[in-house]
Amino acid sequence: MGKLIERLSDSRPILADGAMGTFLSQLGHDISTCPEALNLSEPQALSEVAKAYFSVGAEILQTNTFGGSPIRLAENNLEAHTEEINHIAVESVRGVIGDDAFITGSCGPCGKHLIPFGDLDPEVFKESCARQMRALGKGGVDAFSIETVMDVEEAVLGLQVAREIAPDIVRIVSAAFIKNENGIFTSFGNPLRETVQRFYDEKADFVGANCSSGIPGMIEIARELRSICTLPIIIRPNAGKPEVENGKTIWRETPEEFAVGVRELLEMGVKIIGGCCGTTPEHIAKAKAVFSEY
Amino acid sequence: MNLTKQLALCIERGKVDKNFPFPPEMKDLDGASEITALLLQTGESANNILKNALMVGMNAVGEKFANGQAFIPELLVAAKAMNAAMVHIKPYFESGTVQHKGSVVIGTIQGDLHDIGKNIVGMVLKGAGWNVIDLGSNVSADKFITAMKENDCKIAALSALLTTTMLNMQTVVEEIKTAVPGSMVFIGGAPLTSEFNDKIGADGYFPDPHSFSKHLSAI
Repeated sequence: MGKLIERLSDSRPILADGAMGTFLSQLGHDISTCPEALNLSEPQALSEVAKAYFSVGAEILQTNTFGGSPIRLAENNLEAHTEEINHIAVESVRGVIGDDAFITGSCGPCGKHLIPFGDLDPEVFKESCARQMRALGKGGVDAFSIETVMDVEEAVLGLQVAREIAPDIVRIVSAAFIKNENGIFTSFGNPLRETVQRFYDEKADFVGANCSSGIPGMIEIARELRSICTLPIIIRPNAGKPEVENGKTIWRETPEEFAVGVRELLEMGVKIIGGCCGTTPEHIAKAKAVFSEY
Repeated sequence: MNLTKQLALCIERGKVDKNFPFPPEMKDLDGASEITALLLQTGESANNILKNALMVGMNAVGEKFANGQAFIPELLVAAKAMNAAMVHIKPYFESGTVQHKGSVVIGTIQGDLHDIGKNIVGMVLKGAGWNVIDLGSNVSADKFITAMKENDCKIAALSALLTTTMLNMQTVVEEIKTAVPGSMVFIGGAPLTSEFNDKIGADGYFPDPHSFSKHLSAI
């Protein structure tokens, strides 16, 4: 398999993997405090997840680095291990897939808020972001995935950093949109249209949505994205809303329901589809069956 | 506009002080800090400032948030402005000039480090006249219990942001209720629901700080 950018110019859609955190939890790993700590203590768990998704046909595999920026890792005194944590995350996936699939380096929100709303200096954030991205790039990711965006300003800085340090690595950015009666927004109140425009201006290669809603909500969001956006779109829904049963978090949207939604997203022309919280290899396997018709 | 109304607006819009760059249309105007100091100088009571300005401002932004017209940044700056005003008001509370409604122990649940929501709840409760004992984040059942016993407090408020850490709430609720007879434990946080509250035997879930504050004042 060649470069991701070549695969992108191919008209076929691309199937991504499902959840990382919730799936690790289902496999029995404790991710309640710092999921990335697992990269140091049990890296074989990362290979296990990659195998599970790769074996059912995922073509894009994500790294377990959502909270892998030094700012976020500092909450658990792990910032000194930033390079190691991100490196191991990439290597564990690469060890499973070789050159037969692609790796996206997950970069979630850093957990602090930029001034004036919070106290985080943009330069400090950029340095933190650069450190994580350099480590992911060195590890050999095919794309950076700036995901679950809540504050557009943070994502914009992330896109700028990505362009500065590794202009050849594909930039995927997806927001956690919420719909209310006034429209579709990020939790920071950035309207969808403005969000997409900012990402476009910052030369994102892909824009889209992940987390925050299940299939029905995500289809509405995808439709809106499709109507205003010329860039290829990525959509990664949750498996519904989290509910608690017998002391465990469960997600009710079944692989079959997921697959029905996937067909609708493919009909709309969404380029990359995967899953977020609560989705499993079974969801991706069902999606794969639909993908084979496109 | 009189000073009290002006202060309420500063809280609602998140105008912390004169130098604060947000909101842009209030540039170079006095903020919550200056106006609170001024009101105190003119002889206004700390209680009135709380009730007629700070709470009015927090309620306004809280309602906008509940209606989807304000978002997290607006809450963050409103809380900042509230903090700036409280710096001036706090001494009056601590000197006993103003009577508290009672004490509430608050904290983010064990395993969870997210404290923004919890901080906002703390601010709103303080604004509503409660003595808030904030235990920070990643708080164990033991810490809650010790703080409640030390302060002779029967009300605890637990926060969780993550679907994984919300599961820790059940044990903490049970342990507090066993160790502090007659206590009430309330919960809040993005992934929670009233159903979850009922399931774990807590005394109430509130989707926003204002409905929680109203409920507390009513009991």
